[in-house]
Amino acid sequence: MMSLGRKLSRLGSAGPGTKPAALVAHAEPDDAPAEDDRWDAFRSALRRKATREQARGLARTAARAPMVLPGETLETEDGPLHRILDVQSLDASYQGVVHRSVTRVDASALARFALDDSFGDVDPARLVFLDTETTGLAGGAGTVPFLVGVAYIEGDSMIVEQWLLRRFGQEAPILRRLAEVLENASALVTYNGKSFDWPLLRARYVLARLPLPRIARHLDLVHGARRVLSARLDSVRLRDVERELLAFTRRGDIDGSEIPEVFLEFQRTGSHPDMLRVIEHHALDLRALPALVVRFASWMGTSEDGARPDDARDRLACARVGARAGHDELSRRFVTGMLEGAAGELASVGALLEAKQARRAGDVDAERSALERAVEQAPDEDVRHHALVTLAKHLEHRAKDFVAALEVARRAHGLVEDDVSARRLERLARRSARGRGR
Amino acid sequence: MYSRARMTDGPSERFSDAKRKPWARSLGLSGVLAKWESDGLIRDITLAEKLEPKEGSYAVLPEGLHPKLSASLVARGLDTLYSHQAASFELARAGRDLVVATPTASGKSLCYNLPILDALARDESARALYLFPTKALARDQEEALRRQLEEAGLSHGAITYDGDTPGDARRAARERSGVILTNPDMLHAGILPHHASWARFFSNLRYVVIDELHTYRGVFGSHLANVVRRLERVARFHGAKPVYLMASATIGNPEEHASRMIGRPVALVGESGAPHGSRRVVVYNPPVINAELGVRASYLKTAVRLAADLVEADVPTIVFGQSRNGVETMLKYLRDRLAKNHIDPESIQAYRGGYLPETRRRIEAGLRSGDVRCVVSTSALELGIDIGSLDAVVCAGYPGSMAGLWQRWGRAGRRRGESLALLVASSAPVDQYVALDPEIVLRAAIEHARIDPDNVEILIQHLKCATFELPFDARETFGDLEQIALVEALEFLAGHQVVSRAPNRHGGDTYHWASDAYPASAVSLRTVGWDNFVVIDRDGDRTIAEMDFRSTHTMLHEQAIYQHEGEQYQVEALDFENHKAYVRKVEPDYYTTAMTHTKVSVLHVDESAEIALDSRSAVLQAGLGEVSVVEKVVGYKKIKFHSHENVGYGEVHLPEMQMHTTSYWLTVPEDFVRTRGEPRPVVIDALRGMSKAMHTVAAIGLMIDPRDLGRTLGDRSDADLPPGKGGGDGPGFDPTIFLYDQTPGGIGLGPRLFDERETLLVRTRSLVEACPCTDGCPSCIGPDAGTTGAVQTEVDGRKSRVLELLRAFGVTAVQ
Repeated sequence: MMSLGRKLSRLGSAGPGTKPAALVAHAEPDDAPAEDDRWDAFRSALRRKATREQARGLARTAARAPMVLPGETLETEDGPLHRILDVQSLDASYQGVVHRSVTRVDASALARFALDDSFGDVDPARLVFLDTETTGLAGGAGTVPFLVGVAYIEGDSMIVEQWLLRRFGQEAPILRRLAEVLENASALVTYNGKSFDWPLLRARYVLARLPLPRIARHLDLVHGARRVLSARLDSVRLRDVERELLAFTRRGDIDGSEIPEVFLEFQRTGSHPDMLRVIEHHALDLRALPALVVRFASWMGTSEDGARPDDARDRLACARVGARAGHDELSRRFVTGMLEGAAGELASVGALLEAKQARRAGDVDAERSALERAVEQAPDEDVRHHALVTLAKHLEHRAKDFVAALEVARRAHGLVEDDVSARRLERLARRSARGRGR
Repeated sequence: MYSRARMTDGPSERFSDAKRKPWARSLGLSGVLAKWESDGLIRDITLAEKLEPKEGSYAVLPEGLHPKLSASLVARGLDTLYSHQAASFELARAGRDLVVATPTASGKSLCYNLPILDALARDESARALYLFPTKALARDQEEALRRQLEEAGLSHGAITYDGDTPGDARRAARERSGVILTNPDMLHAGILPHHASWARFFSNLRYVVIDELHTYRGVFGSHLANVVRRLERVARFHGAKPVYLMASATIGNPEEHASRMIGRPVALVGESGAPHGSRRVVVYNPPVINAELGVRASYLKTAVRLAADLVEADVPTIVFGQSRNGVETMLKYLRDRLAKNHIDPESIQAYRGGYLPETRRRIEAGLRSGDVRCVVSTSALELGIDIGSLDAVVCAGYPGSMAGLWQRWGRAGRRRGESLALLVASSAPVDQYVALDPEIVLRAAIEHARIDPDNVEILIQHLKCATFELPFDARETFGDLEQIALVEALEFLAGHQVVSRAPNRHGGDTYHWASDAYPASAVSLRTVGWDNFVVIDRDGDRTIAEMDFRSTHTMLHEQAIYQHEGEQYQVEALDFENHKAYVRKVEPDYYTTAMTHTKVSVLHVDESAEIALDSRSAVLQAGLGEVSVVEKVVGYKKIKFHSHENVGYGEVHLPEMQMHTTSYWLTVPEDFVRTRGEPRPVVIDALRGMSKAMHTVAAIGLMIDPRDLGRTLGDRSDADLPPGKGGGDGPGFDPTIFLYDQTPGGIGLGPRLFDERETLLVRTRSLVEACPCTDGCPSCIGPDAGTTGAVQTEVDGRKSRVLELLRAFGVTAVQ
């Protein structure tokens, strides 16, 4: 350690005859230390640090014999590309969903599911499904997608293609190949890709100085899944959704949180027994995506024989999505039938929804009877108050039945006394008196 | 901002409006000085120096200035620039990195704004990055900059990007904003790690502004220098090579400091062209009121009395206090005193950390408009918050450094007319040292700002972040870090498996980040945490202030009197878990002050060695290891307002503030102390003096801010004894000097001190020997406690006693 010594020695050399400034701990002349000494000092400090830490027992993992991986390494212009390819006939199926049914997905149903009209003319046969496994979840330039995969239809086959980064710094061939696949895509389909996979990949293109592939549209299934399933499920991870929609529970699947460490050790040592499980896990994620698209599109489709969710809560949620997508007919189909025998909150909310549809259809009587049912089935005072107020408005403004409206408004006022309801009572009292007077 | 002060100039223009009370006698500054003289105050004034006024030095608007900008300047009535503004413009335009080091309020921001606005006017896609040490300063500049952009008809936009920026604004900031204003912490943890999303910004980055450069010293500064190295690397990747425009308040070495910061030479713009009026520099030492005990009159009350004279005479005044509590106490006294003379209490305000942003904004605006005639502030106003300039500065207590004193004094001073810079000395040793030899403020050199970007622990942390941001090619550089040193450091990281070396396509090696961690989140640039407590008034149920974690212990313990904007609140409950303090307004005749206790105990000994410099000398034990530093508020005192009598005590039960860090220590055997033939407290006092000098020498040698290194004299052998305050005397008390890292975990200061333990002793001796003082001063072993008036314990010969100790340890003079 020269450095500190030198720095200290300079302290003494403020110079003979110069009076050191009293409050300054000796302003030293600022000749920079000789460069060599500066770096000698740095390097020996570094070595001391290393020695100290070694004493505390930080050992390096030894390299292992390289493991045998599925797939093959191709030589490309940008370097080696490790590819794991799986080609299946369109007549084969995954968890009960025939691959070919992807080509027959009703694009308008997809648009409703996504609440995005631009999917209305998408060619389902040219969808590209994408998923990645990464070295971490933090994001940022140092988070590397080490396993990138796509599923797509080509000719008469469903192809699942996975690319594994065997060595850091060999991302370019993967990114190039992905861009090729995306070139002809009608839309990109992911699960949580809008906030995770795609921004991450976009950063990789920037870092690799490669042109960013243009994607026409991006359908992130997680948002739609949340809309139709979160009434019932606490969590809408891909795992949960495939369990519900495909009746498939993975066995022996590796936990997502373990994946980065498995890869990092594989990368360091050339081998990790769980690498095969990681690749399998990734392949299952990819296979789930087209099957889920088929299911969701079927739910939101207009065809009479299309599958519908069994659970009443899901149907109610679907009805809401249908209504938001402006398809009342579809929306009504989810709730009719379902409300018979239903009670409590479900019946009440369902009745309110039905009333809304009736109102849009201009059916005054149907709206009234639906609202009356909503009042009757109301599970608590809040819902009852809301239903009563809605009914009072309906009676006043559309049914023009002021007497009945006054009666309903009184009941509402009995639950919540506020200025608005007081004014309504006053107004209705006037109008109904006038009505009687005529 | 365009040097607004120049347009609203005039000796007392600001206070000559209707706000002035018709019955107030307007003495003006000269009247106050005359009054002090006739009142006999002059007896206690130990220094009254008049600094001569200076004419301004002007330059015409540069020819190369974009017409849009010259037009907007002229529209503001500015057809000339100060010479330093013009010089900066030319240097910046020529692509030179520069540092502007001119006094407060000399129009420094125009030095960097002008070339940047010019670049924006010429290039729609040009970008600039501004760094400020605090969020408040960034917001302040954002407003000013937006105004200037608008006036020049530029549509680039300026956005503050920090933790408070909402999500949609963030996107706009990345994609469109011409100027991003942020702080080092955000750049470090929020921007650089995501630089790929900032590609457009970085590829067009033309200028980087680092304002308040003097605040980046010590550990914080060493961190920033490494953040700059990372910034350089990222900019290079995106094809940009920004020019650095830096601005600093008064420090001793602006040029050297700036060039250390960015790792290459910079041009210095050090000569201010701004005119200033004459300035009276006055040091006032409150008189001794009890000769027997040597007790002096309270400096707080004295400062209040003098400030009140100034306010009454319509002299816009700023009073600087040492602590938040001191500031609030002075505010209360000032308001009480001036209320008798029908001066609106609202025209006197306090300003300190802990006030909510909107409160601060209101006070700043009040100062500019003249509605606020006096502000009592902590160091918070040292920085470049725009409050215009005032006529008088009263420093209640010496801020601890010459640079700090002049930064505070710099707040006063108009372009024309006289101003006053006043220091009221407290009874603290350093203050008394200055008060008794006051010429020192005129002749002492200003302290240097020191950083050490090559500190191994700091550098390693930033190398991790840098590798995360971009893989390292083994042939690459990192600032001015030598290549071979860089490769060695990367190999060290590879050994720890956080980076991974892989052959690249050019036949060389590249180091890649190989961990699932986000390294920036594990590195904090500042020692002090950012997590705040909120103070809630139970009457009205509103948040009145925020307080940082550390201050919470001393200011918000239960039963504390919390002073806020001149009102007193009692803390009724402190919800430690949820970071909330509940207070209620009270009108007590006392305030409280907390008593803190610091204890260092050794947790693990990493290395130890004997120091025996020659065969006849005493053997010392040096050690290095992990220690726990425990700070605990043990109780509080009730201090009566005005009389400052101690009227009671209370206990405080708060969790200790504990920090694990690394320390170097030096143990003196108790047998040695016993055989000195002098009373034990005298020997302990000499050891304490020696530790003070060691601390100074260590801070200089390590190139850190003295505050980055803790010091205490304690007992290593029995952790339960108090750390030798006043000298413990139990058996087995081996006095031990601890010098410890103030950063939790340590940044390697301890090991370096251990490695250099003998040199450290030798240099300690030369420091003490070379010091020209007679018997101890703040720059060597600390002044004699006896002169402070508080306790008369000491006898003469402290300095020679320290030298005798060192001789007994075998430390001889340097040849």
